Amino acid sequence: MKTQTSVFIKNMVCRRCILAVEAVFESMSITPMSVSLGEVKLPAPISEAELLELNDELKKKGFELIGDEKSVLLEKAKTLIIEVIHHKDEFDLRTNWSDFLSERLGIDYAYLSHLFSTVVGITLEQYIIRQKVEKVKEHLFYDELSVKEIAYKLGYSSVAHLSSQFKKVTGLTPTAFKATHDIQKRNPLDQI
Amino acid sequence: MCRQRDICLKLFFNIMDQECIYIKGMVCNRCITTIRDLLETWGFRVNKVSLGQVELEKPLPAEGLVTIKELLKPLGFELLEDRTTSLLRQLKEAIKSLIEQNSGALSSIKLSEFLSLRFHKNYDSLAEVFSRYEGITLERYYIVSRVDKVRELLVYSEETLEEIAFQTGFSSPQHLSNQFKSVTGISPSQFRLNRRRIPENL
Repeated sequence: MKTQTSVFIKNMVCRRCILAVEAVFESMSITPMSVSLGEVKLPAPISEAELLELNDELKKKGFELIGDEKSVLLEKAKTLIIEVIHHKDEFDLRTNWSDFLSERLGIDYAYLSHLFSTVVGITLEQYIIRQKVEKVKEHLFYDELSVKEIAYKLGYSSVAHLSSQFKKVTGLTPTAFKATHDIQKRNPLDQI
Repeated sequence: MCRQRDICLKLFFNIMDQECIYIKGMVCNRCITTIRDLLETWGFRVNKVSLGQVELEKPLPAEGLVTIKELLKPLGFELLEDRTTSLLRQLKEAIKSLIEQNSGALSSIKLSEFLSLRFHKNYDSLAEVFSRYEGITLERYYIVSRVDKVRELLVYSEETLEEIAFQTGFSSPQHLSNQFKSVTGISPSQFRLNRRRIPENL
């Protein structure tokens, strides 16, 4: 009897990534049961040869198959962070991140945090800050909200708090950053 | 003077052309590929796509912008307008509708009063923003737009120059002729004659 199985994919950050991954599977005539950020559910296991081909195709689009448990866990943590910062408007970002992550992943935060720093090379806190700063950059380019409104939206206690964090990461204050009008200063979310 | 006329002519034919469009919701390299593929499939020539910005090879006419807006929606993107772009667009639309809806009454309406009432803003500040970004003054744009209407009437109606002048808010046929010539380089009667002779000529 066939059993359903999951493959895990690195670097998926938005709806277009889902479309791109779906297209890769389609080109290989595999029909997934579902595709979400980081995970594709398949109706039946696929062969080793197919996996290799799949990985090659995914790599062309900037994705990668991941297998080992630790990488999958880290990728899940990253996806959760990206989802709530970039895609969930209603999520309150003044959340306690350690509670949130350990609850959602069912894992001890100290372990996760240690694993993250060792493998990724920056701390989990630093990663969260950089994702938030990236979101701030996006808002600054859109020129629709004031810095005060952006600070509120992203759960900063004050404009000063946002500004100092922003400056630590980018070297510029939000206002100076906005004045550069340099779109190249934005980074793809999967390369943070 | 010559430069001024170039700008007017450009405005005259392609009001609201854009070489750069800004897109909301782009976050990664797949977004960049998606946008590039989409635009190229629909025949837009793309120079460069970055997160949030697309540089086109050729300026995009206003209809193209509407098409792109519709194409982006199902993919979860949105076309972005900053506050200034949006204000400039609204000012142009307001002037267009003023001309369209007040045929025959335009001479009694003052552009500055109309706009400051409509936008709840001081006319001077509106005029300043407009000239800075558009390279011509609001007053000049108003004239160019009315001349645009005159062109339309010269081609599609049999009305005399005097009637057209009245409809488009010029005080006399003479005044209309002068303004028409300053914008297009030819006189209204010459324009009408050219159009009649070669109807398909643009």
